[in-house]
Amino acid sequence: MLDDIDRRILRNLQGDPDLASADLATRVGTSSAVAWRRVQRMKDAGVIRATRADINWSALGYSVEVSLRITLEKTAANAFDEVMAERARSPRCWKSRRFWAVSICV
Amino acid sequence: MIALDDTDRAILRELTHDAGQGAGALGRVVGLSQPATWRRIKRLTEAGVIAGKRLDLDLEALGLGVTVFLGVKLALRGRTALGDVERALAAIPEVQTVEHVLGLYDYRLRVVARDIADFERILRRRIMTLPGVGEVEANVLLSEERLGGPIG
Repeated sequence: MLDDIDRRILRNLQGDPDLASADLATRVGTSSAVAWRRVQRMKDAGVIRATRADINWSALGYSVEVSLRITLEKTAANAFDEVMAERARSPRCWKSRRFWAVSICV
Repeated sequence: MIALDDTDRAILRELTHDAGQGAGALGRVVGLSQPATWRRIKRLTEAGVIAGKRLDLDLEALGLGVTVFLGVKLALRGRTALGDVERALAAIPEVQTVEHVLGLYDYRLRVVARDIADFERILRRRIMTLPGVGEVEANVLLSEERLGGPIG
């Protein structure tokens, strides 16, 4: 289970994943050895999965990003598999999500 | 615009999976020396291709088992100050991203919650009470798959 120090560590690392243990320790109010051990423990436990680089697509010439919403044809039994197979062939697609949708009107 | 070769693309692909590895380890994966890899990373960073680094957390392990994408339509389009709405949405701790979009909705939000009951609380108390918020559509995330995209 995570405690307040763990949460403070995560909050600081989210702002700067490259933060050195000593700086991290100062910000969360502990020693650098403790900060380092806690980060390692959260990595081993899978709470911290990885540090990932974010790509700025517009710097590569992709200046438009569009979210496509696809509603599956419920009468076609293999509609989902077909969409997934087609999507794998589309090199511009970089995230796909399955949803359970609800509309709320206020 | 920066031109990329296959090695640059391989480096970017590796960094989107694990940006914590050093130039030495990364070089071994893409077949380059440590200094050559370092120079390429520097070039990609200076060209603005690498926008930054982000911590990938297991939200479920943090007790946040539900992710919802919310489409939000403004009730009084043109009469609501967009800046105010954006600031108010961004100030909700459970809201991870706020995107101003062109389409069916005006905003797309990524919201995390402990469970559906917790999400209902956020929706009723934090989002629907905001002045200017009209129709809302919730899409509860079932699974998410990351693909390589144009560099894949």
